[in-house]
Amino acid sequence: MTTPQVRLNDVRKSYRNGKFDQPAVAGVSFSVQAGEFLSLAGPSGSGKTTLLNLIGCLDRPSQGSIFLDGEEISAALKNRLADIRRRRIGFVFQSLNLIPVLSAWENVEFPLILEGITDRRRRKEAAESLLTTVGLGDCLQRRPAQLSGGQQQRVAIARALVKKPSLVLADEPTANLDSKNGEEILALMRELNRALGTTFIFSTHDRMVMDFARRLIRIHDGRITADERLDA
Amino acid sequence: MIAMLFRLALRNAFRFRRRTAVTALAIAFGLGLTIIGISLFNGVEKTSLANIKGSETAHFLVYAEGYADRRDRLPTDQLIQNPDRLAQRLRSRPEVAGAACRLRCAATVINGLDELPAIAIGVEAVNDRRVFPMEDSLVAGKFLSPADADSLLIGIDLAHDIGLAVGDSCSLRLFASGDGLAWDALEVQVKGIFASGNPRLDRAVVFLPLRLLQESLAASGRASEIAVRLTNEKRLAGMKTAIQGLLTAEGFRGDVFSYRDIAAELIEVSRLRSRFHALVPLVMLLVAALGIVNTMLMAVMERTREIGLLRSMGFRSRDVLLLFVMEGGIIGVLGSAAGCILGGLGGWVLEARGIDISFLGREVAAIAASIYPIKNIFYADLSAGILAFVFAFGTIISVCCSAYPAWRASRLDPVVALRQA
Repeated sequence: MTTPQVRLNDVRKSYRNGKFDQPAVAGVSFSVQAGEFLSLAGPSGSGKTTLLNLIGCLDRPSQGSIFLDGEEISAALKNRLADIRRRRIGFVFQSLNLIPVLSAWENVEFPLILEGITDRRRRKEAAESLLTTVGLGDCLQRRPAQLSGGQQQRVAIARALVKKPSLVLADEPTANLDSKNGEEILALMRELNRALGTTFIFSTHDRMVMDFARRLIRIHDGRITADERLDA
Repeated sequence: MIAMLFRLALRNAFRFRRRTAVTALAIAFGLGLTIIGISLFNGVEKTSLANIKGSETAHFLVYAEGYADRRDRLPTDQLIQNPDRLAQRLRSRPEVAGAACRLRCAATVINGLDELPAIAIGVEAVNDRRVFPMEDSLVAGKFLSPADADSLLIGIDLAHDIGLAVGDSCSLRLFASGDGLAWDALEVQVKGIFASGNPRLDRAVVFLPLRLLQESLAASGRASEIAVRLTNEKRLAGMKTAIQGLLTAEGFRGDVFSYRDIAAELIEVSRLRSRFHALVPLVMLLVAALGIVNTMLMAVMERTREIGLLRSMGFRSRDVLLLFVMEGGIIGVLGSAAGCILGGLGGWVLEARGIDISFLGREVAAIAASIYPIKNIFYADLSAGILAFVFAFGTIISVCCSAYPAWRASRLDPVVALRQA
């Protein structure tokens, strides 16, 4: 059996709330194989975002262990976590995803600069190619303020994918979009998942969004209540 | 990476143009005033020294032993014996452009019923011109000549106060100090009026032929001082010992002082005042620097989510720190450059035209004259060094002021930062 790309073992995370610890994730264990298109579903406050933050190396669990491509990241130092984020993980957030002072293609090439790719032409070609793939080939020079919400999410997806990460984490990527734009974004993500083999894990509380997933993990009060394989 | 950080910092600095402009202008204003202040104080010191050198001390003054300690009391009982021979010996040195004997005493100038205190200085008509450029400062009449027996040159302010003009006659009462106070009175004619620019001279000094004063004070063949001018001021340091050695070899017992020795107190007072006065624009600069702290703290608050976004992409704490420090530095560079232009222009105008402090009133001008040997118009002395120093200072202050907001930004937890709407 192949090593899962992501593995969580009895992961717990609580936040200090005054004198008390408030549990956000209460003993979660699951594995994700490379190339999966997985949705973490649950109501607000169920612990979806916390789980994504833990898998995305933005946060560390209070207990339990997390493995990424076989490497335990739960106790890694901050700089190591930053390195992993830089090289292996792409993020798409709900909103305000882009750096306002950079144009669309500059936003997309940004992770490549962080990765240390100095060839400007190579960066630009990669960014342009992905922006064309997400349907924004004619908006390269536009700043985020000159793009619609749906276009901004497309740029964010292009940016998440430009460094060819093994894992893309999307936290409610369609929550701020109308249903038509939301469906388009999800269809695009699924298409890229198929075409590139990149693992996508996205959180949602929207039924329509859940329908796009090929695997659905339901979360409630920081615990997994269901883990279903879907035919999408 | 650094280039990308700089590009990002540059764009962020211009993101809120008005705020950046106001912060940079505050820095520019503080730095501009600092430049004007420093260059003005430098100019005052330079003019003071030039005036002292040009009208009072030349490069060196030679005194008889013990005279220097009582110099301000104008003693006539501690004079140099045979000064002509010593001056002649000094003039024989190739480094010496001129050496002139002078005799000083307290005096009062009397014109009818009016009487004003003064300092009478006996000068050698020919030799003195080679040491002091007093002839150039004549505004009326002529300089003394060897043939003059009872002529007098008078400072412009003193002439004005006592009501004397060229050709007028007046009485001069001379005071000799020694075993007891003795005095003599002379009838003299005003031959010239000078405006040296040194208020100490213009308000209180009269020049007489040396021989006339020597005879009146029963001090024939004696002088209070020998003033020495060098051909090249750069030799000042080495020549002091040389002159002292030369005079000692002639059997002279006395002291040699450079104009810097004599003006040491003034230089020190001037520097202390400069430092104190420089505090005012410096305080303003610090206030402006607080503006940078405020601007950058606002930037951190407003861009908290953006910081989280950068961290999610793999930015390390030190990258965030550097980004905000660069942003503050850019505002600082802009403000410092504008400050240098502002201060440079102000300093340049003050260097060319000066500032006439007489508009502040006679009392203020009199107080200023009691401190600095400068008459009314203060000139600045601007240099590229001042501009470079102030530019570097402003930029460094700005960078330092950005450090705290940048540190706060770098310490933000990415999860908390991303939660910010």
